[in-house]
Amino acid sequence: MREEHVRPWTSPEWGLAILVATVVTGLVAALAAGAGTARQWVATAFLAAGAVAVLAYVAAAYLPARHSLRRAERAGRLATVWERELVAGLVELQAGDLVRAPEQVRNLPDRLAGAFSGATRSLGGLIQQIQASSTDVAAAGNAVHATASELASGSSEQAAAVVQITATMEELARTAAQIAGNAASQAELAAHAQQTGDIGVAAVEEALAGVEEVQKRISAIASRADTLGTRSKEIYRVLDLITEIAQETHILSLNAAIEAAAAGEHGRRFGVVADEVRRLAQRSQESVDSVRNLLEEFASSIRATVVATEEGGKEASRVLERARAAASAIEELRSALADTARTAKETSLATEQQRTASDQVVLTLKEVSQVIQRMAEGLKHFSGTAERLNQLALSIQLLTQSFRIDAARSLKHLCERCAAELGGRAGQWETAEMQLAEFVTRHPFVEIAFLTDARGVMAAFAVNREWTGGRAVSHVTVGMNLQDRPWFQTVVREGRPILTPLYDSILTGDRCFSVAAPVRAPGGELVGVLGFDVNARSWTKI
Amino acid sequence: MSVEELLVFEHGGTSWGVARAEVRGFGAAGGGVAVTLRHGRVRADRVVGMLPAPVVARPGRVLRRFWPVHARGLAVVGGRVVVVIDPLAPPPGLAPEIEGGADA
Amino acid sequence: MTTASGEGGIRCLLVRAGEYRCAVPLNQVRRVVASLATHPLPNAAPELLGLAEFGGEPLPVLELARLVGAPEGAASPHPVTVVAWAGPPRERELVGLAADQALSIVEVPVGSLAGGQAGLVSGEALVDGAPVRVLNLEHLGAA
Repeated sequence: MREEHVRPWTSPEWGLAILVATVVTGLVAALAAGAGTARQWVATAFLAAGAVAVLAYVAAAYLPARHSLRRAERAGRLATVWERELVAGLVELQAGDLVRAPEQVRNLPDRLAGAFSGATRSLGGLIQQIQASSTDVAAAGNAVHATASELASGSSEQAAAVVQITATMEELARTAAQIAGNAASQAELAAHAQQTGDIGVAAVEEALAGVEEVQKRISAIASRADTLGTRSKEIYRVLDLITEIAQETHILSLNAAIEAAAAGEHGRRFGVVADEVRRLAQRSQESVDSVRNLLEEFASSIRATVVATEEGGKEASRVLERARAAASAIEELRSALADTARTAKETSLATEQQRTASDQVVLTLKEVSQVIQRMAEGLKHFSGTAERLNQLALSIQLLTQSFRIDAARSLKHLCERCAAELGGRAGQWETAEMQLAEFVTRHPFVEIAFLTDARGVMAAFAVNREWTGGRAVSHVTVGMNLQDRPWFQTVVREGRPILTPLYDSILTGDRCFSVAAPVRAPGGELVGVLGFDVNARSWTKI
Repeated sequence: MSVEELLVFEHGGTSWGVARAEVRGFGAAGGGVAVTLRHGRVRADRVVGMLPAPVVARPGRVLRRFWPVHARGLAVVGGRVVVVIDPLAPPPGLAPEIEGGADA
Repeated sequence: MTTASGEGGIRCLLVRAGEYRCAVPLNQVRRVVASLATHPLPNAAPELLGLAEFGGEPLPVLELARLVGAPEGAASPHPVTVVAWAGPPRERELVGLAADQALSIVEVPVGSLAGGQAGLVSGEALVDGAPVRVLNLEHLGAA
């Protein structure tokens, strides 16, 4: 509590002096006023009252005032101590050390200390929440980035597919156009063929009519030939009859000659007659033979004619059959051609429609392609935004990491604890490398952990092989001097854990930041600096 | 002249005859007729009937030269030429069995 | 041989049997008829065609072409049966000779027969420049 300038007329001594002065003045005034009982009574009364007033003042004001003054002096001294501690705590708070800050105010009154600690805890809780939220945001950003990348990749694939489909549809449209052209040509040909078929049918029908007429005539000829044949048969029958008669006459003549021979001389004339009869029969037979020959020739001609007629008739029938078959085939062909023409026309129309549809599809695909392109650009932008979001989350994380809080996620606190362990074994740093190796194994976000002595000379380090891929690390060696590094100088100067800004890692080439803390011996002297590099890509694993 | 009655039957495409007095009965025989005679049996494809045969001439020399088969004679019965058999010695193939009859 | 002869010749019935022309003396011929239907006899010689009916009498019919050993000739449209007397004069009997065709009545000059035999064919002569086998049916019944 600061010393306040006390106004002299407000102190209890001055009050008492004033009161006494007033009483004395009153008394003197009373005395001066003359003798008498009234004066004396007045003076006595005034004196008594004055005495009472003085006593009352002393009791009620002077003594309490002096007590209060002493108390105020005591409080002022206490306030000074409290102020000093509060300032110390606030300084730690200002430095971001929410672990040490409450320690600085432990001598404060409970309520004040409690309020400070409570505020510190609340702030620490807020920082943890912010850290967690930033991690969530980063995770969300990563997820969004991944999704956007996937979508972008998918969009690329879609765009490629759309290009391919477009090309295919254009090819299809070209093919459809070609088919339409072919169909149109086919329809034309079919129509032409149909016309030709009509002509063919007419010709065949004419031929059919002609063949039928020929057939009729052949039938008529055959009929006449049959009639002639019948007549010939009748003639043959007559000839056979005549032959029979001639033969019988011949035999009769022979028998007559036989009888004549048997009759001897008496039968001689009869024998002559028999001979004449036999000759007559012979001539008849010869005539019959001659007629038969002629008839045979005639019959042969008739037969030949009949055969020719029959064959002609058969041929005519075959021709008729073939002509009918041809007519039927032409009719079928005509019908098929009509169907073909119709189908070709329908095909032409359909392919025309298909081409139109294909063109529309191509247009639509082009629009789709543009949409996909815009979407890809949007996704790229989105991915960039997600990346920026990630960066923002990292920035927030780094901001929160600038505070040291008593939490597993506080890198400064982690470094401080590890440094405290090492500090407890100051001078026995043979196992420091093993400890550092264990440290990097437990914390996969750490690229390298290192320990220097108080002069900045590297005493031990451990590299996380997950980050180096087993490569040999040649630029970091035990014994190398790091005293000129800013982080070393800051730690030594401020004596508290620090967090560097982001920089490019020599080990991995990625963005990283370093955390370092002083290593103190149990006596409090600085014996070294412990630090580790955190790969920014894995900060969400903190 | 007494007109002899013959049982005329056909066998093997030839018309045969046997004196009615020789005939004792008829029976079925494998699709044909078995004619039972006084002294045996003859096989017939078909029995024409009992027909009168006015003339039964003995086979001449020429016929015997070209057909040396024993027969009683030849007759023209009902417009057909019939070979009249000797029931005691029918031509081969006509009567394979000879049995003793009631008048044997 | 008793012949029905003309002026220095034997009048014969000329027939065709197979490829041969055969002459049957007229005095041995009873009748010429159209080919008679014959009924075959079982186990008969191949020359015997069978029995025919002629004038109410049974008539054995022989194939003349086989009898004279003639090669088979063209089929005849008018085959005949020559009803003739066969056998010695006192024991002659009617037989039928189946021939392919009855040609004519010819006169075979006496003394023109060549190759005289005691069998059915008494000899061969030329009639109208073609050979003719003259038959003698008196020996037909002989064994």
